[in-house]
Amino acid sequence: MTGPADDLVLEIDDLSITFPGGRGFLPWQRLPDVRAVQHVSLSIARGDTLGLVGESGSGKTTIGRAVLRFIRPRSGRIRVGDFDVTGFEGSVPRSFRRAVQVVFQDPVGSLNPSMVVGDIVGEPLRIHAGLSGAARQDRAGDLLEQVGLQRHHLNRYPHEFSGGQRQRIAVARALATDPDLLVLDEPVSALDVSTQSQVINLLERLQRETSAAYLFIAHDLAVVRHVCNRIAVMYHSRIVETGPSDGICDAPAHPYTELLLASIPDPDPEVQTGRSARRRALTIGTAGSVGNAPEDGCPFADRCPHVMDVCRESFPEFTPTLAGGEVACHLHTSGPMLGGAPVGTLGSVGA
Amino acid sequence: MSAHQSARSRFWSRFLRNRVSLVGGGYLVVLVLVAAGARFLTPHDPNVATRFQDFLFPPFGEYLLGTDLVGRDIFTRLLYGARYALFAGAEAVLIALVVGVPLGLVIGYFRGWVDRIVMRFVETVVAVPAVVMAMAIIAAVGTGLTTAMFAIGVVYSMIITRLTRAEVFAAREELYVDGARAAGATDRRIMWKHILPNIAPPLIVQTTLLFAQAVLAEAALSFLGIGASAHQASWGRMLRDAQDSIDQSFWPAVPPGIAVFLTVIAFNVFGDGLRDAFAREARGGRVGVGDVEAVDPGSDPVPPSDDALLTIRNLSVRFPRPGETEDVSVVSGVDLDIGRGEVMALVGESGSGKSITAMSIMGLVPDPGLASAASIGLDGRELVGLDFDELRRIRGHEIGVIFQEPSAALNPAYTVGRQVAEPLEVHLGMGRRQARARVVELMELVGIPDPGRRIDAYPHQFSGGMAQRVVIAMALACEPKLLIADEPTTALDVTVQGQILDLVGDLSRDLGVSVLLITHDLGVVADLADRVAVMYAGEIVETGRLTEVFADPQHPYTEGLIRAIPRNEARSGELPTIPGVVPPPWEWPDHCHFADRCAHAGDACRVGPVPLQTVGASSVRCIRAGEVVLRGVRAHGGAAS
Amino acid sequence: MSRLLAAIPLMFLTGTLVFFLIQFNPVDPAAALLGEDASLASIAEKRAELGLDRSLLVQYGDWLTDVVRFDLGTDWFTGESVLTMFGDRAPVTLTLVFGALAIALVSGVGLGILAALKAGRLPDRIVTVVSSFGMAIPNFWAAILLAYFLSVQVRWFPAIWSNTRTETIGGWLHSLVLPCIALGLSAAAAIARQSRSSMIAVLQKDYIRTALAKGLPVRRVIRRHALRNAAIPIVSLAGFQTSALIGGAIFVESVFNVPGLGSLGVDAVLRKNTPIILAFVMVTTFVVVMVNIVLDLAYAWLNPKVRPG
Repeated sequence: MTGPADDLVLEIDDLSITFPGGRGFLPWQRLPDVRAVQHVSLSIARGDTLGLVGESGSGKTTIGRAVLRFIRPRSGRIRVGDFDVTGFEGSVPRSFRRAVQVVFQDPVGSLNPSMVVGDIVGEPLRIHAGLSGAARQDRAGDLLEQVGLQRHHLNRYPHEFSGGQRQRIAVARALATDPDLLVLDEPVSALDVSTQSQVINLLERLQRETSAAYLFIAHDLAVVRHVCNRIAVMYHSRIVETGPSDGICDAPAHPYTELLLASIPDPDPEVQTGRSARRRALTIGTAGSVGNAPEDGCPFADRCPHVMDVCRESFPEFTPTLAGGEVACHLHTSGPMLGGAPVGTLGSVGA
Repeated sequence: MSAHQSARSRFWSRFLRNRVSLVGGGYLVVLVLVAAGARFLTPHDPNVATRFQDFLFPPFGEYLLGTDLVGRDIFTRLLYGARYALFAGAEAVLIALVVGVPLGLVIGYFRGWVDRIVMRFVETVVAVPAVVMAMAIIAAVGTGLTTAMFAIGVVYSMIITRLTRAEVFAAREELYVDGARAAGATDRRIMWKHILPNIAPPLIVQTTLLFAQAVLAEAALSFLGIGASAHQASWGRMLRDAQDSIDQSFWPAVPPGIAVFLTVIAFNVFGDGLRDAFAREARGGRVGVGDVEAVDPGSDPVPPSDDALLTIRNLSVRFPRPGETEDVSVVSGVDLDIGRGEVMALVGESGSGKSITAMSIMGLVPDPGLASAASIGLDGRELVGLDFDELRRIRGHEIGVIFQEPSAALNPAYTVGRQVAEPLEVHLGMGRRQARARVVELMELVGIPDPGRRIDAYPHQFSGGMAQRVVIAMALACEPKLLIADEPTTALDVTVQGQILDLVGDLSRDLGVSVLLITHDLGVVADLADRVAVMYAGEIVETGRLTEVFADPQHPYTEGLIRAIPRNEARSGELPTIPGVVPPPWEWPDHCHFADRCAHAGDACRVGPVPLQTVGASSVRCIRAGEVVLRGVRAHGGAAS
Repeated sequence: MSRLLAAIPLMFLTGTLVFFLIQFNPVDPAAALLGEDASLASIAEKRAELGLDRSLLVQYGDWLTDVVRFDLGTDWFTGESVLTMFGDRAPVTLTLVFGALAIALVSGVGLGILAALKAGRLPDRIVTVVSSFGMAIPNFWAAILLAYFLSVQVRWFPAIWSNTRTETIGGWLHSLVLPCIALGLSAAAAIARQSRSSMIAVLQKDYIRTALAKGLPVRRVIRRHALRNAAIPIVSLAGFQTSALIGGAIFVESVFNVPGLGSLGVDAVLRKNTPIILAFVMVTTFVVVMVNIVLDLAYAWLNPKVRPG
């Protein structure tokens, strides 16, 4: 599904991000740096959607913020089109802000409560297209209609809208600059089910119209499967598996991906009975991803039913999977099964 | 769409409703007029003794408020004093704003070393008592009203700097700031257009209150003789003169004191009114609980089933609506039965009324809600009509509760052990040591590793999943008959959610406890529940056995929910949706609440209320039930895991 | 711990700041000291005697070394040791300040919580009105009123400080009752408001709902679960109020003629008596910082999240 290399809108190469540790009890004490993202490489082609999936604290949002250049990575490179994002010195060029736009999870907090919708959607038009007055209102009204709202909403304040409508406003603002890349940070997680699918349908329609690339960051693998061509699964600072959506979800190669899939409850009671049995079999102990991510070794080792000694010593190389992606798991490099076969076929679990 | 006003007009209507603040504002307007027109309001000169040199002349005679010890007219001096008070206050506040707001904005926004240096300086100045610091500055720049208020202004500017910086710190973490930055807004634009308007309310309120403080400070410093000079008829100076003659007459101390007092009150209530008007929602206080009021059963009461542990009949909850005379119903006519050892799921989107329904069972309707029911029976006992203390003995004892946000549900000030032990001590009369031993057992039961040590840890030392296990241990401590689980996994990561679901399922089976599971996630329902009740806009629209309802839904809303939930399946075409949104309670129609979003609705659906019709173990609130063909979880085929 | 360590540089920073600040005054203290008739020569001699002829940095260094040795210098006018003067006057001011703080805390917290529990009802309204009055009364005016009604009219308490009456501890305390009340009034009002609003905020918290759902009696919910969390912002406010009370003491002392630090400070400001001003700033700051350290400990006790480990 990926086009030729020059058609890539986003390229991330060996990205690592750390945050300074907090202060200790004594004034001179410093806690160790927090490893938020380690050695992540990703790319998205024009018109494609990449799903970045992981639990809270996995580092997925941090990657999104680095792509937007809200934070500077410790090492690695991020390229968006012709922009070398990691190479920006000082202020960010305005043309980059035009090329990359964002929609956040929280539809309440992401719109300035003291501005009317017309000004919120019109701000990028003023900055990038130099529009003002009636021309700006007119274009903002067009955008509102494009996302399924009405022109007369321009003079309302964000709090007068429901969650789903606010998310449409945020999408309209993002579309205003006709971006090449849209970072969608959990855009539907805060919405009710019935509204969720409305917003997803909208995003897909808009992508067909604009052929922008989407970086879709979410925790819900089922939603991501529906929205994305390709998926990258993150666990505690590392990408552990990438691949085509249906391939990953039907035949996960990494034990964490498998656990994640088994943890999505299905509304069909019969399906769910089987799935919850699988989930139980895959669950080891009660740990979550707490504390700092290990520098060497697999971060999932403590929760992995297949864990081996080597898993705590080194982080595995990426191996091609049968599903057409890549997996970073010692089961597939030095373990009993080679070649990135689905974990389900790797034999008994937790034995 | 309800009639909508702009935020600004709502602000003013809120403010104008506050009579006390209006009076305060009115006083301040009069004060400004008096200060401006003092010359025309009195024939006397504030600094020259009256013609006949009437020293300490009593009030309400020839001179309205009498005269002071050198025979000056007190009323005249009082009027001119308003000038000094306002000028002094304005000087101090202006200095504070001009220095503090830009400085606070810049250091709060850019942070870094400039912020650290400025804040070190500010903290140094603020560590000294304000009056003492002002006196030190006065020692440097000399005494006098202008210099004294300059000193006060300098001290206040530190306060404003600190406040602005703190507000900017909080505001720049807001997502809308990130949104503006992503839109390409420059730092300057973000500061002035995005952050400043949003931090203006607290700054305006603080400015008003500082004005009051400045009026007080002027009076105080002038009273000491380091503010206004002898020729300036400031209120503080008048009090100083009055103090000198206090042995001869007390009266001269009264008018200027009252003037200062009233002016300060006026500024304070004005500021409070602004603060309240800025706040979007007025908040109630009190421990928020209301009893359940008894009402007649509905027109066609459903007979309680014999083996039910909990039976609810005709439960409704209303809330008073601010500014409206009529209450608004958020839950209406709910009937619900839960069998022994059964897991009953109450499903619905946000705003459906499912949580409030559950809280009403225990008499914990959030204040100022009003719950009423024909009957709430728990294990053969009628709960409607019980007083607070009788219901209290049931809460935590026969009914345990798990909440959505485990870290918020635990009190941060106490160890988890003490919190789990509380129901044991209160309901079972256990002593400290006995309770502690039981808590360790309970923590082991819910799968907390190393309970002997973790029992003395504080809630913030637990991860979300572990904290939820603590809450579960607390809910199960007294071996309740019913467990209410209100979105128990919504705040947790999906892999942790699985563990908690397994735990709740295992415990309910092992302990034989019935569970009322409240959730919006049909997958969670399918994982745990035996039976399900679907709520929409305050009403139960469908109930039945889980397998039947999900395989063969009878209500179009149930079908819509089932089809809209994203599942781990290959997909084709657009995602199915339910058009529109759940309307707010005051827009719920008298007829079928779902009609406006329903693909199958006809004219008959918009005539009158639709009753809940029971067929066997199921019931549905739809007049077209059976007529329309609806699709369940297996309809679009092919999914197997 | 770290606050205690940070307090020392803070004291020196404040002192340094004020030291250089005072140099802005164009008035020559030596000239002021000797009066208008003094000859230029005698003024120069006086300047040398006070050490004012040396460079500013040398003066600063001298002052700093003295302070490290707990030597606060001598009064320029009387030659008395500043430390002795402060030692004589500090006890009465501190008693006044802490007495007022105690009154303010007890009455303020009590009234505020009463108001919160009866939010929207009569007791709440009364407390709200009384506290807004309390915050608006200038403390020195309250002092004048109290002195007039309770000492001049009914003679319950002395209106003016007298050295004979205050020789006994009882008489001393008796003389301080009215000043304490006058001073504590506005602090009590502020604390009452804070207690009310923080109690109301705490009552909205999820863990209060949890406590109720556990079936605890309301009184236990309030005492065990609400009070302790509501106390956290009150503790922060108490630190700020201590600072305000020390400032306010200056005015109240002036009304009752109490021989405390306040009158010393005012006099020093009027006469530019630098050693006294410097000591005044440092000593009052020291008291505020010490109180804040104690409050920090209370804060950590109330709020386990800020405790180490």
